[in-house]
Amino acid sequence: MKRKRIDRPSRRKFLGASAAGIGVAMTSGLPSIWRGRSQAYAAAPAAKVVDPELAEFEKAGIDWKQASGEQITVMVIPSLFFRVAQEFSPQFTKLTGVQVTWQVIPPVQMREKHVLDLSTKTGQFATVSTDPTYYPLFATNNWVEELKPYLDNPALTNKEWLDLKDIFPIWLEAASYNGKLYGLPYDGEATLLLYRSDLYGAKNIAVPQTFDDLLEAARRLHDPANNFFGGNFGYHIRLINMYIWPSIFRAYGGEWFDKAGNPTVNSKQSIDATSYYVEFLTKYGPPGVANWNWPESLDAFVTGRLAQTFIGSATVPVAANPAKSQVVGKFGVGRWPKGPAGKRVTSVWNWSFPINKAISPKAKKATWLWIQWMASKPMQIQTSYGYKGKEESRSGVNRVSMWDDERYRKTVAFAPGFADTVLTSIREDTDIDWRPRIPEWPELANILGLQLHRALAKQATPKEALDEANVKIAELMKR
Amino acid sequence: MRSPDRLWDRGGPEEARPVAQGRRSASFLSSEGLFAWLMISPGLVLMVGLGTLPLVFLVSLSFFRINLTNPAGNRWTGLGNYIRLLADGQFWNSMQVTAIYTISGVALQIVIGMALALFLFRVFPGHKLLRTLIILPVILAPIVVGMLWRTLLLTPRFGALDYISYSVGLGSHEWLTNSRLALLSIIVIHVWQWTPFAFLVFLASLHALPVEPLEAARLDCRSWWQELWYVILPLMAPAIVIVAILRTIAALNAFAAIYAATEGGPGTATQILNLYIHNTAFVGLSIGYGSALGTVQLLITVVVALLFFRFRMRMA
Repeated sequence: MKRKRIDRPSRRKFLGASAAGIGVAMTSGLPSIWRGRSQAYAAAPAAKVVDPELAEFEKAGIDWKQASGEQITVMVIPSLFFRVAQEFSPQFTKLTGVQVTWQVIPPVQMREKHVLDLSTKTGQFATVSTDPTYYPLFATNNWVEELKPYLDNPALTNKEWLDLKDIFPIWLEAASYNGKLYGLPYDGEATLLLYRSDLYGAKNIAVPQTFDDLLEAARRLHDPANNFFGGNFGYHIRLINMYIWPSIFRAYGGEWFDKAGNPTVNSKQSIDATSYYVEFLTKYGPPGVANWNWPESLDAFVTGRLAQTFIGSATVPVAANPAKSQVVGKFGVGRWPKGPAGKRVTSVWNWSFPINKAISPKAKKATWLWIQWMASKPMQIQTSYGYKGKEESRSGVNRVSMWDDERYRKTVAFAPGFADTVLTSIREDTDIDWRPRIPEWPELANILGLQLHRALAKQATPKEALDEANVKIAELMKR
Repeated sequence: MRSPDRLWDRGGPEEARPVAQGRRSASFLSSEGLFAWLMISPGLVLMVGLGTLPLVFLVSLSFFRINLTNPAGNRWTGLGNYIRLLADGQFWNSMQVTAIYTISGVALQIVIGMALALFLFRVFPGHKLLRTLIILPVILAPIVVGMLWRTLLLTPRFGALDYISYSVGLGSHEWLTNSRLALLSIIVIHVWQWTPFAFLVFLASLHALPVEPLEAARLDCRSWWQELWYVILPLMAPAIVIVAILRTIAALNAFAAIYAATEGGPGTATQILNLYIHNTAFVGLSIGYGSALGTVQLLITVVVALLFFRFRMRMA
């Protein structure tokens, strides 16, 4: 049997290894140990070197690394404001050591996946961009965490730094249920009237202040022979129509329920509102409008085929982008017109983030840090007026103080008075009961959205459609 | 004595059979049966786990009132969901839409697919290119097909087909948002995408037909129609039935193209049963009632498939 040979180090190997060892020691820890000993009596420890990119976040003074090593998955809708946020994701990982996987899915499918994930408690998504009407459902089912314990924990949150008072109060209210906060808003919008100011000027039309004015403006600008149409309400396809119809319904004085809790979506106000909606679109809408969502409406507007539409303010930058729009400098924005009830009603819309209750405690911490990072003012700045990337600037920041800041207002000057119109709409036209805040909303919206679509397609009169919707909603509420 | 249904029992010489090596024990553990079960068990487990169990679960859910918007009210409801659907106007509407969509869609696919196969069975310059072009739609994802027709082809005034219709004086139409036209449009979309499948099966079947009866028919029949009716179609009957079975099951389960084109609208004009199930269970979050609708859909598909298979057996 062969004996195993033991290699003896040659002189050259020994000297080489020794030199390498000393080199490593010199360039790594040892000199600092020696320096540390010699400076042991210095007055104060050396200041922590802060990465300039993270400096604003480090001011929170919390331990951002407390969930380091964790991995979370977040789901958002495809949109400019989330694309911009996603560009900064490596910054969050650098700050916290938490890896974030982004899933980007259209809103309808995203909500379906979200509800399935929460109801089956699979914990696939740590957090999902959530619109306000889903909080009653989530809170009632105990699917998401109440945020107060997170906010009150100084190890997790520096309340002064986060400064919730600077976030639009109505957005926080919309992300709450029964007085408890469940989500922090990242971005939001008001629904605005987008109109062709050049054509209004040419025909001496004033910005519509009432629904009658709006109808009259549409009548005067409607020119179907030349493929130009008087207007639409932006969002008409089944179910999506429930983004716009509630504004008309409420402006007509409609109430969702009476004092006894019975549904009243077939009230006279509701029938009048629906008749107006159907009449406007049938007379002055583009052909096929019942199948249109906001991308089709915006596309028709920016290609010069539509005199006016209603659109979320976050989408207005597209109309001001010369690469995408033929109406740059030819459009204006306005608040929702007043309805017969004497009030203007815009959507209560923002995308906020709750914490999934089914994930591990460490993942919850990581998720809270992420939500805090997204909602914080430094993040809002670096994704809006501080943004130097390839996308358009965001126009839906959550901070009231930023809307008053000239630096921000300059970047959102998409149309004359844009910032003031959005701000006034949010402050004065937002109606917290724009949609009923009940857990049954998804099914209620499904019922009502379908019946409105039937009315628009002339499969039923507004009264027939709303009567049927009311019966079904009553059955739903009894179940 | 050997069991006649053993895996290798094809009547070959005794010594040639692998079983000859395993005669030492008669126990089940060393038998061919066990080996056979071991071989098929991975597939069987997958099939039962991913196919059968979810169906059993679906049926069991249908006996409960399960609504995610109000879990406090979830309870056993027996046949409650089935009684509810008997009085549900939307359910009957979706049944009617499904029947029209399936029957007309499958019939058109068979007729057009057969016509194309007979036409391209002949050899002429460019026939290979034409065959390739015809089968292109079938390789597209249904969701893409729905979007393609909705945006590029049928958009009033701007879609290519609507533009042609307008240009030749037939007018511009709301193909997907007019209650009467929408159902017709989604049938056309379905036929456009899936006729190539029927065409391929029929073409392959034509190539496989025996030559003698065809040559005899050519001498005996007075016209091409007689040849087609009395000889070719009877010989092609098994292929026609197979296409009818497969396409009927697929049409009953259609979803993506319609969802992309109309989402079941306008109103409920194109809401086939599958879309109604989706809206009920995943939009309205009525899981129990949605499961009952799903069970009905399952039963319809199974019954239709069994009827077709029985018909096929009788033909055989």
